[in-house]
Amino acid sequence: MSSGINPNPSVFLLMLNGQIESGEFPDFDELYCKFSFHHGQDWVVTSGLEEGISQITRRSRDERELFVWNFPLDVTYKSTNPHGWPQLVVSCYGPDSFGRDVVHGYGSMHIPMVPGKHRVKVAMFVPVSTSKLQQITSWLLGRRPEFVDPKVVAQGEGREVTRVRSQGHVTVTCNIVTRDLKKLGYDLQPSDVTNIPVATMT
Amino acid sequence: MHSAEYNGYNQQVEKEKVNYFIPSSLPPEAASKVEEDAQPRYLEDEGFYVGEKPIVLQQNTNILENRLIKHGGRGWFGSDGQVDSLPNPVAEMATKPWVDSLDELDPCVETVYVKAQPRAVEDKYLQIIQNQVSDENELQIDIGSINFIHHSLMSREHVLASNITMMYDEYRMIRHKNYITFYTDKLAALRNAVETLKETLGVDPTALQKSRINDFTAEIRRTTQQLSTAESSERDMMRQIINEWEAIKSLREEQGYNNTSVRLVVKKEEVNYQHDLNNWETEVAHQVDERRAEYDVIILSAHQEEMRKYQVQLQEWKQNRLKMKRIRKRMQRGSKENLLDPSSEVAIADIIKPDKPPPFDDVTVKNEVMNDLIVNRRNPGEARISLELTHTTTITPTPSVPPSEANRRRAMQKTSSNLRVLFNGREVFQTEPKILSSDFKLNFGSIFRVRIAQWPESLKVGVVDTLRLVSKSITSTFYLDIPPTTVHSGNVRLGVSGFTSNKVESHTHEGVGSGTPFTLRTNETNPTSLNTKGQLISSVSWSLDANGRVLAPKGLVEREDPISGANPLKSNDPVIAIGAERLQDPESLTKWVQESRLDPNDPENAALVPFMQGNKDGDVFLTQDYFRLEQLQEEFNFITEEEFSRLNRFRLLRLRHEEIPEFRNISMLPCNEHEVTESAFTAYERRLKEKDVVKMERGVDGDRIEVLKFRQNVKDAVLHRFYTSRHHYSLQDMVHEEQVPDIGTLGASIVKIAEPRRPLKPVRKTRKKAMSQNLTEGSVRILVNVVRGYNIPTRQASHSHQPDRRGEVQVGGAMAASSLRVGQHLDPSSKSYLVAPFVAASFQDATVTTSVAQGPSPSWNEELQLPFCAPNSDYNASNLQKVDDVLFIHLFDRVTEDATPTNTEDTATIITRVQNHWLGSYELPFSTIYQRGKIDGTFKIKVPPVLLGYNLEREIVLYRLKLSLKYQSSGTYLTIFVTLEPVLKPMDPPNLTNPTTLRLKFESQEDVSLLRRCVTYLADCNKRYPNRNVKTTVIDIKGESVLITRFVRPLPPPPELTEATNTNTIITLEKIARFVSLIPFVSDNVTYAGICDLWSTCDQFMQMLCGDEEEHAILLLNYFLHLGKQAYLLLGTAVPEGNTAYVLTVDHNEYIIWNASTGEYHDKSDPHSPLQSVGALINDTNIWFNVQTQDTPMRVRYNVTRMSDWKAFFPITATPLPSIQPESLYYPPTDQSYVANLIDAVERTLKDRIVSWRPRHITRWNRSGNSILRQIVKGLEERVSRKTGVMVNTGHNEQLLSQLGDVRFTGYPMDQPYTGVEAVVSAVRSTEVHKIQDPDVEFSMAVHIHAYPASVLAVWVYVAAIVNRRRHDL
Repeated sequence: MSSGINPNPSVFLLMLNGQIESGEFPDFDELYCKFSFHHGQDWVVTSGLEEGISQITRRSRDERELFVWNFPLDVTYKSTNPHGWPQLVVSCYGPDSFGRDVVHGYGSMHIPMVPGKHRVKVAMFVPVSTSKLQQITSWLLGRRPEFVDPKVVAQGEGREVTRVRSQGHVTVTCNIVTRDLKKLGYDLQPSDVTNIPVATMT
Repeated sequence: MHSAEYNGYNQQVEKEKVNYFIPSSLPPEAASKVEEDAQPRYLEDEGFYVGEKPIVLQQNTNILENRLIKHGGRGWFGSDGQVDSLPNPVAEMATKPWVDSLDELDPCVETVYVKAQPRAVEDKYLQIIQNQVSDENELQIDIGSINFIHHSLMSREHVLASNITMMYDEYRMIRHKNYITFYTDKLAALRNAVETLKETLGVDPTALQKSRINDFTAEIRRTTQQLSTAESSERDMMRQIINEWEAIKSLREEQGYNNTSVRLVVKKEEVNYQHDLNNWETEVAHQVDERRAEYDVIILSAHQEEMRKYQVQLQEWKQNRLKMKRIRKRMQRGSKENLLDPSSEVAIADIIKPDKPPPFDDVTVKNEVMNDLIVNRRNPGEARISLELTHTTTITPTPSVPPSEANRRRAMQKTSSNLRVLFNGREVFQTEPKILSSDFKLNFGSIFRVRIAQWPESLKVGVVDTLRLVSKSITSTFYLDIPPTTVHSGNVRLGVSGFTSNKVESHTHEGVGSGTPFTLRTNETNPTSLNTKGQLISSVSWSLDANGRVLAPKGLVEREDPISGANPLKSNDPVIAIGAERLQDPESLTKWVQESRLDPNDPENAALVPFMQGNKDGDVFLTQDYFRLEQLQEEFNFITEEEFSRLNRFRLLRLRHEEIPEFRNISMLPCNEHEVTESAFTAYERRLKEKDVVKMERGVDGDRIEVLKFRQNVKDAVLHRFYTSRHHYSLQDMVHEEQVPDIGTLGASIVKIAEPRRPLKPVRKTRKKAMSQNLTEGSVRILVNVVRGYNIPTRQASHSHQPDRRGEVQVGGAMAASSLRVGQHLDPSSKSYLVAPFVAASFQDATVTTSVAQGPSPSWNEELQLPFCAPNSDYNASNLQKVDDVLFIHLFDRVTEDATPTNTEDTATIITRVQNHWLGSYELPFSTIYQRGKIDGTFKIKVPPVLLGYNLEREIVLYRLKLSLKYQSSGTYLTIFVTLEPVLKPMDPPNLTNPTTLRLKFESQEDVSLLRRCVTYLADCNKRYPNRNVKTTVIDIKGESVLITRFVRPLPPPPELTEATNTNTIITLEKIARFVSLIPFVSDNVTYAGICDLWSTCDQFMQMLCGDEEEHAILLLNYFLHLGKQAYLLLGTAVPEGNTAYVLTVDHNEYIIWNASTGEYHDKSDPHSPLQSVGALINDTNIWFNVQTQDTPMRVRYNVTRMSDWKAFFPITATPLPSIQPESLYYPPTDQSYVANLIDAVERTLKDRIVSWRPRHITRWNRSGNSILRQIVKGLEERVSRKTGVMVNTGHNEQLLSQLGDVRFTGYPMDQPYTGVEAVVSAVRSTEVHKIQDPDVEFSMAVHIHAYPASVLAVWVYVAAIVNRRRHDL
């Protein structure tokens, strides 16, 4: 690796550089968000923060009603296997009407695979109470149901037992740089539709 | 505001009439339900399948219809005037019959298990083996052109032109075949033949000749008729063509432009009238002649024949009459008896004279013939007409046509079509799109080659219409034939296949549309409607390779044979599904389908529709509407299965995916194959091998290895099932939600306010359990709180053998002296309570010790912390419970002795040597701590029966605890408290009421009702006392659930154990318990932590010679039952095992609890009993669950007949169910020479090891000590089993002292079941005898193995370190 370019790489690199720009959550005034990355066993963070927490932001006073964080994300991954491609898990918290900190949404997105600039709108949702009574008490006590681990939104296992409600959106922009993927045989470019061979013809 | 107003009833009714609508229940008028001025149309009558509508009461239907009509909902009605409704979806027959109860299963609906027979996948794919490089299979598809017979964009003129073209084609075919000439020639030839035949005939023709002439005549007549038909049909055809041409001409005139290039040219050939007339007259004459001849032959000869018959009959009648007359005469003369002979009476009426046929009428016949000729044939002088269709008319250019036509032409130019070819349902290629030409022809002229890997099943062509390059639609699909292997590209010819489309299209421009009615001719009243229709000219053949070999798959020839069983197509045939297997022949199948009159619109018959349509060529396309699982799997595989298993990287990936412990935490698995080293697998492979190797080392038979392997397999399978079920989550696993406070908790929280802030008696709060994801390396510790010890062995004062007190002080030093005082204070009568004990806890290579306390009952009250590292840093519950590390708690005596050389003069310096003498140890598996959260109590330390140089002071403990002497256990005790910090959340034990763990239910031979009762019983028990241990069914070695009582059956113990003594004494029981405890203990629990225990029967247990608590307990229980004892299997919880099984014996109100795996026994009221709670009692007849509020052994009432104390599984104790245990056990005698060899081997190994453990010291062996120990050790087994270890102790000392003189020694005999040399070695090492660093130390050691029957071996090792005092003192 000393020369900088390795003709026979054993890992590929994925660099994400972007920000959690803003969120749209009707009915709330103040929000902050946490992010973390969830990845498979063959992925290693080589630089950058794997977890972070943003400032608290107020809803903008215009008709867009945006929550702007502009919270930077910068992470570089090293991997040997595209299985378990990293996912960004975002969860939003903020005070409810009694001023208690409750969760306002979970959401996840795969880091885009294709190099370039991407703008992703991540839908956010929260688990709902199991009964009306629970709903009332959780509202009263400010203890809304939460996922045991925010990373469950990046996994499929066990989701069938949960019921969730949509809350809003978080917009994430990211610039993706990859290295050595093609050398390892992974072609992430979308193939040209017109060039797909339909049959072995001579 | 209005004042109150009264409306009269009539007024009210009037008002209501205005506002209310009450739908009538009478049927509404049919006319109001269908479109105006249209008749109701009954689709069913027209032969459409309409299905059966659900039954609705007529009255309700009427009301509904009236309401709909009222609101103008005509759209709700179908064309038949009925409310549109879907067919009744309810099937008449239940697909699966309802079964009320499993007990009384109707034999009719009993299911029979038939093993699934996997069908070879190769069926679909061509044999790979054959598929060498040269062996490619290639279809060559030549797409020529498409001819649209009708197309939605055709103008009316096109339709007519298309008609005329078709007719002309037909006409040309007829002309080509030239039937007229053929028949004329034939006729002439026949006539000639007849002529010549007649000429050759003489006056008297033979019968053969006659018949030949007759045949010829008949043939002539037939031919004449055929000629007439042919000629008339040709004339009809011409007439129609001309009519059509007239229509085109008039249409062109009418619209004022030409759209098509067709032009009909009528060619007239002038003929010679005279010649024609002659011919015609000859023909007439011929025909008349022939008819006459025919008349002669047929009618006249027939008449003659009849006449002849008539004559014969008449003759007979006449003769009869004569006879009768004669008889009558005779009768008149004589007897009257034979007056009437019925047989002789022949009625004259029967004989009718045949009429003479009418004579041949020349004139009529001639007229008939002439008429026929005039109608059907060309008349004399009539011109010979021939038609020719040319394409010479110029099409009016677009600028000069009306706009609607121009639109049509534009639309045509925007429409392009192409073909899509699908092989076995998958698209293999598309042709280039072509724009429709004005004559509605598409010329593709392209040849495609398709290399195939699957058996050809279908070749489907779809016609795709593209409008304005964007909107694509498949207008029609049809099938091409798969050619037989004989058809290759060298000999194939283009063929025509027709297709139609039922797509409805209509246009605003001149295009006539498709499937929509239009008037073709101006004067026509009823409109015509045509569907798009066309012909594809194409060919399909197998390619030829360079050598001219046909590239067709091998075996296709056989496949064409419909009868051969090897035909794979047969199994794909939808026809078989309806039970018509025999009709393999497509023709007969088509016939059968047509005869059986299936409704073609019934979806159930969809598979047969192609047969119903009766393809012209008799070919049948099989539609494939079956489902095939993963039919494309092969294509989606990235690599072949073989490579997948060969390549190390994939192997690694797969093993990781399977969560094999060695691999589950591998991260950054190498990307390239060459970076994966073989060494990655060595640990795993070694483990796989070790499974066998370890068991080999134990030196027992191959049987045992086999059984163990089998057992391991069953466990693995069970575990796999368990882990699969672990992947099912409940809401609590996913979402953290506060529980709803109910009245109780609300009340409690209110009470809490009034609670004292710092209560005098605080309530223990449960600690919060840590989630596994929050844990990191080093954050988990094991806390061991060592409180106090009881009855710790004390140093023997006697062995110091000192007349003066100086030596004693010297030996003990200052500390010893102080401890001596403590001892004296405790019991002034003796000064032997000298001991400085401390506790060392070791776990995972870490050891921590308490401070040194004094005396036999020390109180440390110290907390020891030991770090815990999870394997692979994985703190998941599933991983943690596999941890098989053990927490050792050793008790040592710290002996400080003077090491100052005695000859030195420097008295100011005192060098002391500290030595730790091992006194005993206690083992606590990590899994127990993990499962139970905390371990709290007083436990018996495992102390060797003889501790040289120490006294076990039993009496004092007894005195202190004031217990009955009889069954009181002796020993040394430690009070400890062990827990984890933070508490790890243990894996939930499987709960039978939880549906996810229902998957854990296993196959069973038990009755279904019994199993059901087990589930309800367990659920009930768990509800009442969830923490009490109870089992009803257990898994036997076959992996099947077996009722637990079936394991109980009296079995005779080895006769050696019972023969000598009275069978009922406690000594016999002890002996038996000792025997059972010597069977090596191998726990399921460490690995499987209560998930599932496999229980093996006693014979399997004896064969394997290893098992866990249950097996030991069952064996002991069965022995006790054989001795006639009243005994039960006791399920409960104990420390350190957790849930376990003990044996309870009842003898005259004496309740003894036996721990079968150690051989120890306790009275029920013994406070040091390891048993903590009693869950259930089991014997061979019943299971009783403890429903008393108390479950500690000393408080439980053991009278199982009391319903209020014990809940029985069987309400009435019935006869025991058949046991799965054998009737008796076979105890093979143990091979004595093997034992002798083993003793030598163990001793040698131990000596070598002790030497190697002392690398910096010389290890000397005291031979005389060895021989003395050897003598002693042989008798130990006999004595220890009588629990007289304390008495032995003094004996040993005396023996050794008398032999060796003035020595100081420490040493222990150790016994253990023989499981392997390594186990013995580690046991010796744990005593730390080898750590004695006194330069004068000598070692003695003796090994003895006591052999019980059935290879049950008790290993005794006696090690002693001897320091010669005299030498020391010198």
